[in-house]
Amino acid sequence: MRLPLLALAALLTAVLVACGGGDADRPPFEVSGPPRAVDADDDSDGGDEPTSGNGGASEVLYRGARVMPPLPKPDLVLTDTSGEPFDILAETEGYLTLLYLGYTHCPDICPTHLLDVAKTLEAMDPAHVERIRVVFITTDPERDDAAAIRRWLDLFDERFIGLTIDADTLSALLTTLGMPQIVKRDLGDGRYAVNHATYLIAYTPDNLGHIVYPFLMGGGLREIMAHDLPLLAEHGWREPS
Amino acid sequence: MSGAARTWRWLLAALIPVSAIALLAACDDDWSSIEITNARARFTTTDVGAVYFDITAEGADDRLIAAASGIAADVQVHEVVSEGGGSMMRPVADGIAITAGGTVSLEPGGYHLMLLGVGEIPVPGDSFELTLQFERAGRIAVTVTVEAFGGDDGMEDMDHGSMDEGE
Repeated sequence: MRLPLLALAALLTAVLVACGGGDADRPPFEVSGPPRAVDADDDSDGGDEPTSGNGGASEVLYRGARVMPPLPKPDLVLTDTSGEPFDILAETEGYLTLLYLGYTHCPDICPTHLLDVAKTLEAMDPAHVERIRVVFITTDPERDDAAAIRRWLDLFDERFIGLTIDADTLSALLTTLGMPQIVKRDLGDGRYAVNHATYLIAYTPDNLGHIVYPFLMGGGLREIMAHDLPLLAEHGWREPS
Repeated sequence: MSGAARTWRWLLAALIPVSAIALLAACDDDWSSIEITNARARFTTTDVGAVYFDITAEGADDRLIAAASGIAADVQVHEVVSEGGGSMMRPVADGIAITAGGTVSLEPGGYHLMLLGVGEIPVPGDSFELTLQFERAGRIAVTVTVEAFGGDDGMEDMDHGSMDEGE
């Protein structure tokens, strides 16, 4: 079985098409053709092969990227920013749970991505937002302690849940989620960046992540999430017909 | 006498445009004028920051190769690239190329300058000096304004702060 990432790579194209004509002057990638459904075909290396003809451009239920098979919700007890144990499955049961892995020394991608989430929630119906939990897990256990994570998350939304994790548990979690292992990039003088997967996973109350929201260079993510999140919060996961 | 002076003036008047054209032609290859606009920075709660701006080049092609600022131990030119279905930040090896007559924008999720080892994290409304090093235009000093976090779309930043206060 291939990593979900491969399916994701293929899907990214479809998402970008879906949000084409946005405000970006230059498209982040060259894309062509209408958005389409992509199935779980193992041979996703080709990336652009159209699959079953069910995907008329007008029948896209969700605009995020579909992951098949869906991602499992982490069955972990980590520690939240107040120092309390946080049982992810128990604490997020019944919620639309948005999981993001990143780090506080991230200058560009993480703040842009999480700000997109915060701004999207801010503009949504509070009744929907009440059904959503945003969970952040650090990919930089070395520098990100509870206080650093709390301070940073409060810039976006004080309700965002921050979790610390040790390096071994993080590595296992990344494997479970089909994400590449983190790569520390030396920036000189002992400073480093942490390269990590850059997509937000949306877990519906069935505890599965069917849809992810990759970072979009050039923007457009808010519009995509503003379309999907109310649907997912209201109805949970519905299989696109 | 006045006749001679008049002749000289005529000569000068005729020569100046000619020599100006000659001058321009002579350095046509490497003359570059850089304009930086919309310079702003974003900081969070750690000792890193991101700087964004628009670069316009006149004359010849140019290239932003380095930057420095007194408020940071190091300033690096970075880009965000797509890789394996995700995005990744990395230092730009050859700098950022600007085509003559063109504009390149550094913006969230694309090219940016990363500030590292920021001693004291500036707050929104602050400004600081940045020196950019271009291959042809040389050094250019820029004043960068620190923007309100979350104010990038120009709306709701005031609401944002006051709403969070209540929780």
